[in-house]
Amino acid sequence: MKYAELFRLCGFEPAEIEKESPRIEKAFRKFGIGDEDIKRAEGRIKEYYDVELMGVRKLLGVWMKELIALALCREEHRKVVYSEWPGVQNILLMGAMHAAPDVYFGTPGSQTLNLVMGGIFDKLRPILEAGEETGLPAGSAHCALWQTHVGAIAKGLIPKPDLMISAGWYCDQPAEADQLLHELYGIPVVYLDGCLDWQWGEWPNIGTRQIKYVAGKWAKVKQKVEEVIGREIPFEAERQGLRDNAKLFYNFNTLVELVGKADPQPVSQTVTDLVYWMSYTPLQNREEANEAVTLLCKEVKQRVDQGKGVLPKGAPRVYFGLRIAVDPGILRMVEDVGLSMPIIFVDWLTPQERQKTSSVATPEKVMEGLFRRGCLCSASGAIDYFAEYCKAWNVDGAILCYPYSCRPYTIPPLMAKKAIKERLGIPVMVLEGDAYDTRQYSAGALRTRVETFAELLKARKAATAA
Amino acid sequence: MEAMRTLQDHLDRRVGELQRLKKEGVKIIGYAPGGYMPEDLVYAAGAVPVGLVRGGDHEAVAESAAYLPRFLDTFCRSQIGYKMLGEEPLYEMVDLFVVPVTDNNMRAVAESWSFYTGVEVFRFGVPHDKEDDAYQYYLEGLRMLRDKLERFTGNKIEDSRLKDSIRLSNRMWESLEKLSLLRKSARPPVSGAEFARLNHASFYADKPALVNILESLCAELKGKEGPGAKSRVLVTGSTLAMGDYKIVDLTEGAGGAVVIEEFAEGMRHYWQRVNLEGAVLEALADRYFRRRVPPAWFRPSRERIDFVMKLAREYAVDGIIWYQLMYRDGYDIQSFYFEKIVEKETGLRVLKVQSDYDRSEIGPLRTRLETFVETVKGGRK
Repeated sequence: MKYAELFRLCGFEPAEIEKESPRIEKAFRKFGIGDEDIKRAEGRIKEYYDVELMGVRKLLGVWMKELIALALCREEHRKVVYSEWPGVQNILLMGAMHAAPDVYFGTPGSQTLNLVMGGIFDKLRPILEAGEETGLPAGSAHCALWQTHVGAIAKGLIPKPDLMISAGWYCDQPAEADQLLHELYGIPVVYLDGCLDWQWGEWPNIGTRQIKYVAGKWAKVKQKVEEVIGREIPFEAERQGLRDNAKLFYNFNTLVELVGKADPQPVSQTVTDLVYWMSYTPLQNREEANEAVTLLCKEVKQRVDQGKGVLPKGAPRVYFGLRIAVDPGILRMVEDVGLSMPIIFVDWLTPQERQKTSSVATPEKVMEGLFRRGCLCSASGAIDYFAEYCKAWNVDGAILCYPYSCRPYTIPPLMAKKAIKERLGIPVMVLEGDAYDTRQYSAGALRTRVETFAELLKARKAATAA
Repeated sequence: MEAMRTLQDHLDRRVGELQRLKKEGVKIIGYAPGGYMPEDLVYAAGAVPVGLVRGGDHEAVAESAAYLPRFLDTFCRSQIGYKMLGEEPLYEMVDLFVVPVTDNNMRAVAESWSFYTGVEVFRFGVPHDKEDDAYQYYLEGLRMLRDKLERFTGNKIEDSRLKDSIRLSNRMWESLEKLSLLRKSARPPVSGAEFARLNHASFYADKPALVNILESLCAELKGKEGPGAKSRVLVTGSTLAMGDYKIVDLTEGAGGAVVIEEFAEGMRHYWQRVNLEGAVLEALADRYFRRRVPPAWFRPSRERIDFVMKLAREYAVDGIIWYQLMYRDGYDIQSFYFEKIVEKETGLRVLKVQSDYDRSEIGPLRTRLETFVETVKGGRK
């Protein structure tokens, strides 16, 4: 297999490639990655990511290492624990990593497979199809993340774990899919449940009932993890997990602000993708990830200082409502039609999220912080949250792109479109897409719609200037 | 059947009666019919509960597309559709809409009503397991509901009044259970279609009148026999809404008999009573949450599956029809292993049917049901 160039593009030094080659080859064999796939990946990396920046290469390298670690997790670790998105419970796993370094904790579907097998190799289809054949059929709007999770286990691409932690506090599919795996293969599951029963308009002054309920479940999840890994997760380890996540998240926020406040937009938002998906993720190579983000921030700052950008200065600014883990091409397409995206998805911490939490204990603190993000609470919270983004980042329009198969995320877009237009007087387009399965949309059709919207925004901007 | 005629007369007058009550200042409290809403709290607050349980019409589904994306459960999408069409009197007269939030499909109903209609919506959560913290959470939701109803109606909910209402509900459930048990007979005196319509009537009929009618009906049907059937069928799934009778009508039209049903929504659950000894709200939570057979989104999922298999055995069915609505993810996923478990443990065949309340489904569905009714005769494989 000729993978040296691929790994060079991913920031590996020749010596490192040589040293890692037995693991690389084993992992590639497991995932069925051959020369053709490697060539395709090289092409995609060059097309979608700014590999002039060493920070970007290093980030790609972290993701490749995550894939290798996932492939070999059973043979290199004593136990295997999975948890997917929505991933607040992964903070607990980050703590557990400190307590039990000989246990593999990972988010196989939501991050590693989606980002690497999907985003880089464009080789997710067989895994998705296996998910479709194993209880999450096509045509029923099942979340592709969970098709990947189920499909990868069903196909034997990734090992059956010793425990799955399932998040039921936001969407229903994680627990439903993990319950399916439990019934089919007997894999133990523990659930981080919750109830989204906030009243209309309750956000941002949210009550504590829902927070305490999830926090109570958190304690049970922790107990189960400890039982399975055979180790206690001490308070200090849990705190360290929280700090690990916060460190990466704040590094990410530095990057977000650098990119968002610059005009022209200094780098493609596909670059921030690589960091975004690392948050709430129990990374095997956390320190390398932090170093890569720090390096990237320096490189982006240089571009900003030099006034360099990937779009013309003064390009219309839009809020884009989604990150697409498996397809960097969509963000690139929005930029290609001349729209600058100072801010996307849920990248920025709103003033509500920046408030100090009133809770003291870790689980309550984490959940309170999370539910201060309006889009995770209720439709009214989501509307206010999206409107806050548009206002704070002074955008000329909003593209509320949503993953069609995500039940909770599909509820607010049509309402938010109406509300934002009325409140802020800016054009808003609702765009149906998917975050985890490129087969569910036509990139060409999306482009046609976005192009038209871009023309509208450009004309509005020109008229205002005149 | 005399009692059925009396019920029909009552239902024919019921909308007018409700409109009169509303004019007189009585609050009409609508609720989502997922089986988690104790109507007795509404009665005890001097208001009238109405289950918003309509479904089966494509017009409502089509209308909903302006307000919600289509990848949500069909019944749930219909609920905003019916309201916005403005043609359904029960949906028009609601002063407060109570939504027990069971999953994100049902949450969409609450959110869309809040945003697009002028009706106030009150939500309380239904957790997805039966551990003690989940029970406490549900109970807390009932306390919030009680407080809300007291504020909304201006009436205090007294325990004595609440208990009176519960006694009446216990009688209603008992009658529905008796009627259902009659269907264990080889020649059930009440058809699946009749039972579904009776059950649906209970969502908006006047409860004292309904209880009297149900009790008369039980007496009337005692010892009677109906026509035989080619095969006996259990129907289970996410929602069997009022007006969505195709699955039952087509099965029975093909010569089968729907002898028992189990649905998360739309069909009132009648197997449990409220135990009136002790604290009342706790007793309600015990009946509506802890002892209620859970829907597919609960875990572990075996309680529901075991219950359906128990029904299948007790009612001596020849086959099971799994009837789910489009995009109800929890049911679609469970159907995959439900079928495997049922076939392994009972040998019964399961036919999975899905609907988006589309007229064009009827033809192919009729063919599938006719085949199923013919081929499952004799039961186990």
